[in-house]
Amino acid sequence: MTSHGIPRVSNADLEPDLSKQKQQQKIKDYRNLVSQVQEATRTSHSYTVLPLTSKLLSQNPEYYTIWNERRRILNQHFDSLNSGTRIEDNTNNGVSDVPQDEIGHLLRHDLAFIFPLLVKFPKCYWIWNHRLWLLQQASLRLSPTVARKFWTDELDLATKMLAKDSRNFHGWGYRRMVVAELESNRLVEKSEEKDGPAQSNNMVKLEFDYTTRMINTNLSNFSAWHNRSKLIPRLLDDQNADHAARKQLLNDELQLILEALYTDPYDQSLWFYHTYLTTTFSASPQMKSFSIVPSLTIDEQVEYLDGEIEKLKELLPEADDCKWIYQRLLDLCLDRRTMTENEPVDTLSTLLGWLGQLSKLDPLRAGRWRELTARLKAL
Amino acid sequence: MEPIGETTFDLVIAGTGLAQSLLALALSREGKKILHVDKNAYYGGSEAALSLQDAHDWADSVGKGSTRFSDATITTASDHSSKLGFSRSYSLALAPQVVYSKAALLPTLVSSKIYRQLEFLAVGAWWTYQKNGQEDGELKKIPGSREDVFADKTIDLRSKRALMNFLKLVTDLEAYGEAMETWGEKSFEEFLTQEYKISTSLQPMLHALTLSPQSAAQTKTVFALPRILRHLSSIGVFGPGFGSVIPKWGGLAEITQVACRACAVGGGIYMLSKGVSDIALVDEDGVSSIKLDDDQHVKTRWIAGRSDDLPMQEGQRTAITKSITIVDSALKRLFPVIADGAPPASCSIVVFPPGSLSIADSISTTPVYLTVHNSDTGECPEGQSVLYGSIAGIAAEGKQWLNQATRSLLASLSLDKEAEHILWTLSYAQVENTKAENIEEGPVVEKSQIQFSEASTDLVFDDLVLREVRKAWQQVTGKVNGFMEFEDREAGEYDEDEI
Repeated sequence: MTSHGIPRVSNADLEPDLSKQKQQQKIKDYRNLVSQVQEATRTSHSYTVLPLTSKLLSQNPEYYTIWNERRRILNQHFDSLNSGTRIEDNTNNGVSDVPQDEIGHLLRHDLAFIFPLLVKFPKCYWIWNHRLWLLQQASLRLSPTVARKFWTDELDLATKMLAKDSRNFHGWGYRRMVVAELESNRLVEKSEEKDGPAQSNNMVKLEFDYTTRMINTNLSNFSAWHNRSKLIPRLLDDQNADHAARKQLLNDELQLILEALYTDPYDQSLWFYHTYLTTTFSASPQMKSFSIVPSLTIDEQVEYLDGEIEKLKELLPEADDCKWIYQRLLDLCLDRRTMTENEPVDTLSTLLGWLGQLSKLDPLRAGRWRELTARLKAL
Repeated sequence: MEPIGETTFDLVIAGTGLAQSLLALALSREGKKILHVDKNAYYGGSEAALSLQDAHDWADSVGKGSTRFSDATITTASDHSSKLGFSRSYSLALAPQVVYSKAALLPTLVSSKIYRQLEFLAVGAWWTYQKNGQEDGELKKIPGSREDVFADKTIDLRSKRALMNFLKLVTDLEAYGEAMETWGEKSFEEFLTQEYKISTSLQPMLHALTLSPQSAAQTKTVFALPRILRHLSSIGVFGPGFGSVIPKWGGLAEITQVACRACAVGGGIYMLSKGVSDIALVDEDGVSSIKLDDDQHVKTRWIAGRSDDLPMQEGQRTAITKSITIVDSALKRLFPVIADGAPPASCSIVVFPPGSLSIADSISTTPVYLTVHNSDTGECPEGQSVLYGSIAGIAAEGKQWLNQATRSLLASLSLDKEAEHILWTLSYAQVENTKAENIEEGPVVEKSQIQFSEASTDLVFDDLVLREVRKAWQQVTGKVNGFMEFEDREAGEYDEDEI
């Protein structure tokens, strides 16, 4: 263990207090650098200009125009390598004439350059964007086997970034893109290509298990729950799940979220996931496309609704100051009334009681509760 | 160097236990003339670490003249002696205490610069032992976080809510303050049952986190609750999933060694196998005359030590029975991965709540604790483990329960014929002066004598010792601030390898 008793301090880059004079100097230096880069890229996109852009981007990765310039430089250089004519001589060590190796080497070099920037600025769109571009270049210009290695390494990186900050939505979106590429045909050698989609690349189950691990590490991980919801339809399709199997998955997920809700009913992420699951048996026709079990009969839907309403009623006394429970109970009960002519499970006075609680617990939305109350009373 | 009889020392420190060693460290840069003696032939006193041979010698000496320890016995099955490593491959700790991440000791080790000579390892999972019928039992991991509670499928939903409500006390200072006021003097059991409606099956898990020597019914909330708060709020400080550490190489012993070394570098004179037998009257200059047990006389302005090392009166005693057991298994199941990104676990704590152990018709009435160290600690060879046992009460009974706990633990880990895996056991009793309530904290300072509190029998390191050392340092130096705040020594000022 390396910290030897030093309490962990935030990683934020702490700028020492600079005197006004030093600040002015810094600004002046930066402006000079910008002029230099702009001047250089106006006249040429040769490879020699690359280090200048590196210097500027290290200081200010948000200056997206310079990333564009950088890509122009690299593109031009890669094209020149491929066409065999070398405009610049500096990179030729007489090692290999194969442009593939060279391009691969340069791509890795750029990825290595931006990695520390990514660590420092994990939420900068342009950095993620440039990384993606580099990887796409790998797919375009290099052999599938070589390119695949780039992408699998990238998946490891995404995992590490998410371990560091599990709720960075850049990280999750990026992960989805990397996984999509790894699953596609683009990274399969022509000789190995089968007819139809590359089944052996399918990563849905792996990714599904990954969301389970992330949730177990941190219940509040909205992105993990969200990703899970995106994977479930594909998971079921891949398994050619029939009606019974689909219901089984739905039941398992409802049990899982119930355990989570009992553990921490105050966590918003969990309620979003619960809402996602209940759309499967919701009255609203727009929700049908999200349904985990599309062929539920009305009776089955009502059964599920009743089940969830019962569970939430049981949860309520354990956390009677939690606005989410009241809100969901209202939603579900109203949904049920729309769905079936059967005797409602709740009385009007119960619903109005819950609305009363909501008005106390969530006064910011007072208008909404008032409106709902009026509508209910008109029933 | 002049003979010690002709020097008037600023301070004679008797004993190289933790308090005395920390005082030596604190004074190591003051340029004071310090004579540091220990009646034993080894450093560490009540916090020493012992090789196998040392342990045998120690057990012998305990019968003769030690006032802190008694009833030391060693059992070895003769046919297992071949499985034991050589004597020096063991470093058995008399003080294997767990140090919580927010302990003031740790930043003090940093500011005094000796942290570089020390290594700390993570404490991992905590377990309670649950009895299933007469002979069997199983270990249950104690949840420390919301995610642990979520993951534990054996806890029913209602209980999860109750547990979570309780764990929230950590973040809700107001509720915590109220709880202490209303329930402080009542038993922890009453508090958990009536205020949080925690079921009787879950209470042992929460009580285990306090490491209290008594049952929940016998422990006051004012004692238990702060310890739980400390436990829960320490998790995550050094890394995900754990909240406490242990020093490598034999518990607090290593700290005493490094601290004494620092004082020696600063000019302190060290003499082992020399005790203080008498202290003569102070003369007009405030100088005392000390007689060592080889009849030498030494003059000094101050003398500091613990009652075990100074000829002084003692008060009422509390007894704890302890054991050190060597087992020939790495007990890997006790050390699961702590969390993604956390260091490996080297220590695990197993709690046997009252009623979980039985011998013939008797059932245990107090908790039994087994702190398990694996070979990462350097305290035993690879493939073996050291189990440190602790139970309140006198030795005769205590030893039996400790043995039963060890056997039950091994059985629950599916080690057949548990007795055969137990290679060597040292058990003994340790006493401490009973802490009187509402008495001001030590050290006791009378004229030029500073008496520190006894080595603690608590399983958790308590910053009390540091506070006592600070007060002693203030007495001797006359300073108020600057305690343990040192600069790095200049290169060339000394050569570490020569010490």
